[in-house]
Amino acid sequence: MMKKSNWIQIFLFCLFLAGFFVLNLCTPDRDFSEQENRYLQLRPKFSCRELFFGDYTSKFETYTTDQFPFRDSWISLKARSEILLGKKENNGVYLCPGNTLIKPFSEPDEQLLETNINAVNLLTEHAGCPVYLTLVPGASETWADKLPKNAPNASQTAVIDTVRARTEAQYIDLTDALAAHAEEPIYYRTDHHWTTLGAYYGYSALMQAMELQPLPLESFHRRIVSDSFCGTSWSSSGFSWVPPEQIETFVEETDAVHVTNYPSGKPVEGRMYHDEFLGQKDKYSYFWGGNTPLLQITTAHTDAPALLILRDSYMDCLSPFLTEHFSRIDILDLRYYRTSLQTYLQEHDFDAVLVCYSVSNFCTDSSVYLAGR
Amino acid sequence: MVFSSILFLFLYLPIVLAVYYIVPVKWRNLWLFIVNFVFYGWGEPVYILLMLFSICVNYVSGRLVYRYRQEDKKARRILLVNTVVNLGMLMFFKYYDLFAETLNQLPFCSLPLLALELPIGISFYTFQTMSYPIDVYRGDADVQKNFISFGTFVALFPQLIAGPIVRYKDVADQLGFRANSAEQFASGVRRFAVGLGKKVLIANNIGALWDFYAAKAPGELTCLGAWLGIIAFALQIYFDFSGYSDMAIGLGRMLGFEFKENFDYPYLSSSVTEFWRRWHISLGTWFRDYVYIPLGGNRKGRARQIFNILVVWALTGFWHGANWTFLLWGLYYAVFLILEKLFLLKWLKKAPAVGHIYTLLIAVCGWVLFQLNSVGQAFDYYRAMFFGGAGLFAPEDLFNLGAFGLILAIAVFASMPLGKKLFSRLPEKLRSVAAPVLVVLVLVLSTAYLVDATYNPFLYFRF
Repeated sequence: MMKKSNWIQIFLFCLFLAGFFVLNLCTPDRDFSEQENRYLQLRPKFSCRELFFGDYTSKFETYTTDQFPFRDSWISLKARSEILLGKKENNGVYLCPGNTLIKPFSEPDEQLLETNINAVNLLTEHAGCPVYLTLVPGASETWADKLPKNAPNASQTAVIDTVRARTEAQYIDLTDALAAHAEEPIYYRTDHHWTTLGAYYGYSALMQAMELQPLPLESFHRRIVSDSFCGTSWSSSGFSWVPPEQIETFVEETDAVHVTNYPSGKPVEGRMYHDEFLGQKDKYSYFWGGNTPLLQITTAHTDAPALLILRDSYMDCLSPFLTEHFSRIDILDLRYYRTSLQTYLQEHDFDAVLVCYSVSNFCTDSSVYLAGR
Repeated sequence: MVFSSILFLFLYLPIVLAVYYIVPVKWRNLWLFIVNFVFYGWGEPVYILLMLFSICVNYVSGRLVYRYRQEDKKARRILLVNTVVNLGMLMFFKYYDLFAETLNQLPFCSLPLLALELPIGISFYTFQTMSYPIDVYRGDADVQKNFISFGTFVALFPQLIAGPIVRYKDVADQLGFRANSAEQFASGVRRFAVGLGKKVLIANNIGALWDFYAAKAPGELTCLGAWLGIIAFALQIYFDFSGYSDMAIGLGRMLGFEFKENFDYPYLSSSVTEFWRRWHISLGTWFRDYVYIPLGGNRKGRARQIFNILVVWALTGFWHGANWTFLLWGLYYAVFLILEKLFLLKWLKKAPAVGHIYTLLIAVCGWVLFQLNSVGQAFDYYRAMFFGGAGLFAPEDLFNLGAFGLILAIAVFASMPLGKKLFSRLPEKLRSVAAPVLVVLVLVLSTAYLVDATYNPFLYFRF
């Protein structure tokens, strides 16, 4: 090795270490990462107690990686290098043709699934009105052909078949309705949710099963409300070069629809669409303002039936369609609603209950058991 | 703290190196003495006390042995006490729960379990310190009278938590005086980059494949899957462990120390005997010098030699973790080593290619016993490897083969000295340009993988 080369190596090595050491000190800390859609670790408070008995050191270590200069670019570099290495995924998200990001489905926990099916069965017994159950298959099922060949991906249809066989509620199948439109953009490319178009097809199938007449697609005025949506799959994948996409609305917000939201137990006036979220990372919360324990919606169709929905976030872009068909729609989220569901059912007079979850959430959510309480 | 972390690379190391080269030479050991404890105590500050205790005991023993070097009986008694204290500490912190659990299976026996957090690197530094008074007694090493110098040696952060096991006599001179040269520092930089790349870019990457198969229930494992999984682990542990040793040697050079090599392309071996001469060399030599030879080695007849091999390998295996499977793993190797001593080695020498395949097979099968938590699990895994388990292969195995094919190929290539040979054949000018470029490339890529650290295990927490 030449003498000059040795010095160059030493210089570059020291420059790299010392450079980032100094940059680390100079760059301000961020508390939220838009790219990753999560809160970052801030400098932990030092105390002897925390050092010896707490988790000061591990927090500090997370702090150094979370606040590392140009963190987002490093993450993208790693994602690129994984693809170069022939990997088809990064951090559990597959990069599929057409810049589509899909998270595969993993084998469900049989026991939890059983618990959740039983909870809905219990609800069916004591609800006092028809209970409908529907599970929304995710992109990894309907768009399974987009996944890399042979990629590990458990069957959601198998889960649906199990649920259908064991449930005492009226099961409404969405698999075929979605599969029939698989060529259309029914799921987001960058997010795990279905698009408003996908939700429309879900809505049609629901209405037909409930013996109501869905409105035709042509009757809606489709509006693009955002063209810069980067969803959760985009965030966790590190594939930051995948371009953003659009969010659409089909149903116009009118004064005839009145919304009461209970974000923390007390009623406040709610809205169908929240423009303020369109300027943020979490644009999907545009619908109804995101997760909340309870929404009460009343419409002008006072002689129409009343519906209670047990939801997850897939419901958010579907529920606007329902305002044409029901007098009252209460949307309850068991993950956040902490009072007895049975009491709620007794206090209100519903004509039907709809339990609607994505397959993936129904297999992993540990709050569904509250449906039977 | 571990080397392969943002914290170490961009906070700890720059400060340590900067101050080390700024302060006067005579303060350098003291500086290292201090920062060693920061490094060691980072995860579990309380265990600094344990380390200090270990340093004190061995420091005093060393001096006493030296003082009584003319009175053999006394010196031997001190050595005995010292060894008992050291091993007692190791036994207690590492093996107590295993012994208690095993004894509790007897009737009327119910020892409480302590679930102690294993002090990181305890197996490495206990061996390092324990051998020092023995070397003083044997006259192989001079006594160290400077407490700081001795403490610096014991807790020296480059080799503290994952080896190599550095013996006092090998660095005694360097503790007193270290010449620094740009050449040594630069070779340290290169070596460190090689190690970092091995650990972060190869071992972590390929480890994900092993984790995929290790998580499978025994009935789900296919033949191809089982082989893919364990080959991935064989490569992961080699690149992880030798990567750590490379980083240690590299860091040592940056500070003016020269440590001995710890790995020498073990997967090239054409016999198990050769494999253990190339794998974790510092551990093998330690057991040879402090157990095998004192037991009589091969000088007391065949039968005694076989017995000695069994003892040494049971201990070597057991050193790797507090689980009876490690003991079995050691004995598993003892069987092949004995067979080779008796007749096999002569045959293998005639057909090195056969020997190579045989050695790889034994090493790979050994890792199953090494890495799985019970003999039952290991046998389920062997069943899948040799009798198909859930069929010959599943579509996901083909997917994994595609997704990990390139990194597997890179790993296999890098486990042979081919790349190194090719590099040294290049004209010097080209090498002088390529070296800094490669160093920076590894640093940049490793940083990217460490910032998005979804998978960065420390494999030696059980050692």
